[in-house]
Amino acid sequence: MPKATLVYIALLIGLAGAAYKVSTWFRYSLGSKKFTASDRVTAAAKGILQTLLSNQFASILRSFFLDVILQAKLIRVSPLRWIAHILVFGGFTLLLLMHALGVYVNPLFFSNYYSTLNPFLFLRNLFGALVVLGLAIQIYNRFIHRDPANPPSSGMDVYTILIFALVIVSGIFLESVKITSVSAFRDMTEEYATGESEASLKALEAYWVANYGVVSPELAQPFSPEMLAAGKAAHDASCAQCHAPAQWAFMDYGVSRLITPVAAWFDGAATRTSLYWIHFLICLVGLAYLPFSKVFHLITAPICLMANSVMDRLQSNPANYATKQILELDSCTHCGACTRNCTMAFVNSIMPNQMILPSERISSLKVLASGKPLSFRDSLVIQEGYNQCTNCTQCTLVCPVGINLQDLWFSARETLAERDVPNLLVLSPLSIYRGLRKDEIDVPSYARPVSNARKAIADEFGSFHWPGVAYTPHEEKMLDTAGMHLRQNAGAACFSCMTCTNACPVVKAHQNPGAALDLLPHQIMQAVKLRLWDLIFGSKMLIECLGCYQCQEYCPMKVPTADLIFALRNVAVSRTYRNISQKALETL
Amino acid sequence: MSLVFFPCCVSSSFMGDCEFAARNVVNKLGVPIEDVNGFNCCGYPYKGIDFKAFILMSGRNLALAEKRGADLVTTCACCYGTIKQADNILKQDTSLFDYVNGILKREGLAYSGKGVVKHLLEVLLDNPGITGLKAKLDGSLSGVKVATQYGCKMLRPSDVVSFDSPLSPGKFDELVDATGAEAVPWTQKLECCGSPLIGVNDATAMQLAKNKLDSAREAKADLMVTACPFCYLQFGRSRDALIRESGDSFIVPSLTFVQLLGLALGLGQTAVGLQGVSLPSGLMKYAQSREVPLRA
Repeated sequence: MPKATLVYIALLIGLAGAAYKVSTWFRYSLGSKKFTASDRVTAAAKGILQTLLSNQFASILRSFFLDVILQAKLIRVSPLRWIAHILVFGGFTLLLLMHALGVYVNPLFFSNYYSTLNPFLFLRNLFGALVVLGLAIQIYNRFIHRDPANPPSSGMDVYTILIFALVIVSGIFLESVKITSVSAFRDMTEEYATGESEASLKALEAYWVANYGVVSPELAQPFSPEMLAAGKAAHDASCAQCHAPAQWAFMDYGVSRLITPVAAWFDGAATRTSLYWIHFLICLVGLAYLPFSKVFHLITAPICLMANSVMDRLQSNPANYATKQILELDSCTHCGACTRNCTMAFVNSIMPNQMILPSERISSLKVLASGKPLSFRDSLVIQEGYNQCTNCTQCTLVCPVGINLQDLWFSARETLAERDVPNLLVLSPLSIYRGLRKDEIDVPSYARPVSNARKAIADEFGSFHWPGVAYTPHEEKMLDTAGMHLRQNAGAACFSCMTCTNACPVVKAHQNPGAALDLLPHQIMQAVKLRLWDLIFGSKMLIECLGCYQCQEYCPMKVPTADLIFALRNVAVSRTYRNISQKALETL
Repeated sequence: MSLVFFPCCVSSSFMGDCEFAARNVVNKLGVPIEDVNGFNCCGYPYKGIDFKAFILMSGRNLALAEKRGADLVTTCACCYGTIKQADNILKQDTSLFDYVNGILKREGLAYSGKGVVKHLLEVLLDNPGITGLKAKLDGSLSGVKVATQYGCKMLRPSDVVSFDSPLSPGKFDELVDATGAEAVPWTQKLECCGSPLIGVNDATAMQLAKNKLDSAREAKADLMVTACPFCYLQFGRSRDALIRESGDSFIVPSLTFVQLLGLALGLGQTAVGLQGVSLPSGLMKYAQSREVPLRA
């Protein structure tokens, strides 16, 4: 099959893939399902046009030069990674223009273009060397220097480094085989040194063996000066015009010296052709697969960076914001900067849920955005991971491609909340973030997670009564550490003076606190003595205690009231969660 | 002992300006506090739902402080109280101590109880101290009446925190007085702002904030000044909501203590992060008049 056809096929696959990816930006969404794909296409076209015609264009331009071309965000994350990225990106782009598309591009700048002449011969190697150096740094960063704070590498990470490395290595190897190949040399002399005598052809070959790295089976160094002089004369007459010294291709030449002992084995037109096709096909595979690999960030990251320089959740058109969020998912390069700076990533060491790590959430976000069905268990795992987040903004601040990660988590959590999988983490100050962004959430959806969580706890404890439950050693420990020894009835010192209840600001906030809170603080103390667990664990007071410690501070008997309430809440949450997880496992 | 900033998640999420202000204030006062990466959440949100996670998170932060040989400095009363309480528990509970160290060992850290967390208020009261501060502040905030909001975890449980008297605290008030402003007594001074219930029970959270805002107004305060970002956010958002609901625009606005100090140090509006903050007009004019280039 002709080469051009193959290139077009690869290009077509690549373009079809890109078109599919772009269509997902408009079809998928996190959260709001209000807009149809065509609404979003129209909104995007309008938005882009308006932005380009407004003074925001300056921000986009600024972001293009600073963040896209100079990659300013990356240099702030890690200067070493910036160097590696610039080397690979710069080197590969130049190779693409000067080497892969050289036939079209170079004549625009140079009148006498031959890939075997300088500057091309040297530049091709120089650019290749930049890529090799960049890749070496990346391989060191990812696989050799194992930073424990880094997220685990995925198959895609390996693929990306591998495809670039294979392109370069196969190219260098092809060229080094060509340098040593005596058959290639003889083919050339047949074509271009037609007038030469047998003796001068031999001298020419000797000259090329001595100076150009050709490995000849018949001729061996050292050669006599006369022979070399004759070879040089023939060389000047027939070859020099199109061949700069092979040493200029320093990498190819270097490798050719290494393979000299086995060069004869590699020699032959068939080997050269196969090597050529290997190099060529690897490039085409990379091209065809580009939209499905993370190399696609070549297209998406610049759009993401520029869009985020002018977009804002509250001010931008919600249709465009939804589109941008899906685009962001395709921009992630899984570099791990977010996870390295995550204030919660450390918790992954005790809760083996990878969804805690921001860099690992992107794949599940794609599933969520596509609206594909998720099993109860998967929803539970994803939800637990996403909701451990304290929303400290660090991930968003460090993302080198400028993804507004914190907003993605917010949208994803709201999308998950609609699945009504109980989420007990909302019964904690982690909900403050959500509460502060209440205006951005639909009114009926807002109260659902909290009421679902309360219901889950009430269901868990509504069924059992006297004489109570056996505690796991972990739960007993939890109650002990809070300063209360349930088994030993340490609350016994409490004589119901109600100082705690009178000091409690939550009690004071209600007209009829007994009805609103189910149990008042002093009643909780009494219920502990009587082991009325269903009453305690189902009570609103247990969840609505602020932890302000006024009760404990003022207690005349030094009962650690607030610590006890927190310990009880821990037990309520952990027991309920355990049962929900068990149910989730049963659904498998 | 050297000092490192312990960043608060809520502050960095919603109050980047205040974080910035804190750095400007300590620079201006010549208190060297370094910025270090690698801390995790203090564990405050986990106390009620996953006790062990809370202890572990605080323990790790303390271990990091220990490793650097530096004290943690926070501007958040909740981070402060939480880490202090975890420290207190770890010092008494050997099995939790072993648990935390077993996990920290994997990354070459160890908690031995030497790490210390301090609130920035505490640091400044120590160095430069009230007299030192008075020398640096020009007292030009005189006439501004301030209701001081310590934040629950600055005061309670007092046997763990021991920053000030839990019944009649006064150290923060002294600091406010040093700026020339006047700390006024107010009835709800010791109460909780209600922020832990934001997102869980918004009605109760709002009621608690309203009680405090009303009390500050009764005490004729021009400003509420908080030592905790949670209180600051809660007062700000409740004030906005109450103004929207009732049109009552005389509800007392709030600032964080670093912003008040910044103003008293003549740092100007940008340096203390006051763009878009509503303040009594006199104070705002003062802030604007102090506008000076940041890196002069």
